[in-house]
Amino acid sequence: MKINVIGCGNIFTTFHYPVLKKMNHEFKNIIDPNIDNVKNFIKQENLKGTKLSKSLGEIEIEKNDIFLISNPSALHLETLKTLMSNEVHIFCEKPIFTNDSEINDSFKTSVLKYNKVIQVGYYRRFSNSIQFLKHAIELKQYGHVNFVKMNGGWPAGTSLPKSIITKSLSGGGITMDYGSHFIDLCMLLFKDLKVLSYRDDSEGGIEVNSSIKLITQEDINIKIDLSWTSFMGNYVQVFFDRATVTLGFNNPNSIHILKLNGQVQNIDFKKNINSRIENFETTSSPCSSQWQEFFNQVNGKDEKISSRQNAIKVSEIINDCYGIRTQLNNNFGK
Amino acid sequence: MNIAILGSSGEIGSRLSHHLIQKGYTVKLISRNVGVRLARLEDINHISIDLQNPTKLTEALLDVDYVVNCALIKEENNALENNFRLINSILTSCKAASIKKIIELSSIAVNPACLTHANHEEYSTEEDWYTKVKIQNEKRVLSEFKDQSITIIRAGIVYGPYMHWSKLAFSKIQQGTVILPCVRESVCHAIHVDDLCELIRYTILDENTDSKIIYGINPEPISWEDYFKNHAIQLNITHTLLEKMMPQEILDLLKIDFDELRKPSLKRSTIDWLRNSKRLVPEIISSSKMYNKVKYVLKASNFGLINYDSYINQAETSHTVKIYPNEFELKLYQSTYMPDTNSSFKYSIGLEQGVKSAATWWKNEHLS
Repeated sequence: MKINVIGCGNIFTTFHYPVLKKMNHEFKNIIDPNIDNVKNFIKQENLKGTKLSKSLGEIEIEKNDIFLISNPSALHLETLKTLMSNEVHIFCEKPIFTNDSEINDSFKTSVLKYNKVIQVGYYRRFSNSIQFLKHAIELKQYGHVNFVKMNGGWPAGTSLPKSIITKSLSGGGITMDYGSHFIDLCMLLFKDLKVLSYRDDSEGGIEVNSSIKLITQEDINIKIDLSWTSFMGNYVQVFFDRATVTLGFNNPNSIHILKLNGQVQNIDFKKNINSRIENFETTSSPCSSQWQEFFNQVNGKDEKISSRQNAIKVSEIINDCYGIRTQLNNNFGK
Repeated sequence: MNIAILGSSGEIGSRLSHHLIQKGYTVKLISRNVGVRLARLEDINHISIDLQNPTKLTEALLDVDYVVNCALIKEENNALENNFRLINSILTSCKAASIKKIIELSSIAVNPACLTHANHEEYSTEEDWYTKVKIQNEKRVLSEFKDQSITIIRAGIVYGPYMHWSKLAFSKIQQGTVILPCVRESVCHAIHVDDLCELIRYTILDENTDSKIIYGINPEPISWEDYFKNHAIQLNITHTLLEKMMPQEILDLLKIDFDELRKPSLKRSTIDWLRNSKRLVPEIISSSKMYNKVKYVLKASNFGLINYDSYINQAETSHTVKIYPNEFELKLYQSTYMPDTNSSFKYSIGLEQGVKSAATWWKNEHLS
């Protein structure tokens, strides 16, 4: 298939491009205001037949075209609206929008009822380990869930691009960017959530440390701690009645189970995760699995793991967080 | 008063940027990328450019009065050539933009090893890239801005939150692999990063500084032992020296003279060789329990380990633990000379208080 790409930054070049290339898809248009960078990329990758444009208005959009939105987060909503009016299939990088004051209920309804594909890039829900966890919760394999702890982040230093650390482009900091993945996993595992409390350390710029407390409909408490200044471990830990299950956030094939049936165990499910659950379909990589589901939807199949409803809810939760924000005092040793 | 900080996203640059912004100065931050700590602040004036491009840098400096240069290209390969280009670009731009004063952040590393006197013009002959780059930069600044207002700050061991020297002390103490120099009163020329930031601010304000080179060193006498001990205390590691940690039978067996063993020596060189010998010794020997036991007992007995037990336990599972400091570094830690700081600046952060602030950050980052 031929894909139109909006935003040729790191997310596209290092993340989506290798996956789509491996799946033998082609690129019809690449749209990015920084045309020199795109030229270099196209030359480097020898992409013959791909057209370059500075803005969406410069290209001819046809019904049922496929678009990848990978421009800065704060521009997603506007781009999405333009594309939806052209009846095309859309893969939008997360988050779907950054500021919920810009949208209303009718727009949300129009997203949900849009008769072409809209998928939002929450690819981590496609990992084998999170799917295993989802099954374990639904089947009450280890009893009820009592508490969930999630940690995410690393000392990012100067490694983050301008589009992520400039508030006007990103719409927020670590909660909006990396944190949205964690909130999406909560949505996948627990259907609906409310924000109990939220703290972050922004002083007018983006937040680089934050702490979120959520509660599910079943009164399960979830705590998410995020940091771009500290080593956080990057894990999801679920405390069941009979087991504590931990999965590495960046390792889609590994789960550790501690304290199973009252005894301390440490089981690594790597490589044989599917043997634990009947009909469990393992996948090669979360990102390629998500793209596969996207193309299946383009060909008429329903959402299976992805959920545009969840994607909207994630952005709403983040906005709820910012709405009740209190200051997280991080004086960095001062 | 407009101040530009070059290299504003680095360890010291970002702390200095935050410090001056909080004090209410108009600060222009210039570096390739903004660090996350500065991105938290509202409306920072950051310019993202390659400092090796004098045209763009000159343009950025046109409305600037004072330049603080904290920039350094930290790549060992071609470090001298790359940093030569960098400092030339900076100096050319400062001249073109008619900068009133340049503050160049240098290092005490430019002094001869085992510092014994304060002859500013005598430079170290050490071969490591960092020392060579800092010497090169000083010489360029001194020759290019001979008749203009400059201050070169030779900073000592800059410690505190996010600083390399605190990272090093905390991590080595946690690993239990630190040896202290045999000269117990050897001076650790430490300065807390916030004192260094204040010293830089003082230097900008002080129109009367007649010395082009000043030392950024807290005059509080601090030995290397004090330095590591204070970091250890903050981690609740109370063991201080190997003598108290080594099992008596090993002490008796090896008849250890600790002070003797802490000196660079043939024996120590042998241990260093053993440490690196894995590739040279056939695997059947290097993987044998006996070889490793001998190796680790020898290491433990030679290198004043703060926590012998943890080191031995680590040794059971990992063969990659490196003892700190190595023989080369140890030589540098034998000085007892305290240079004159050449400035009337009042240092306000003592070692205990300074290490506490570093520990606040370290514990949050590594032990949460």
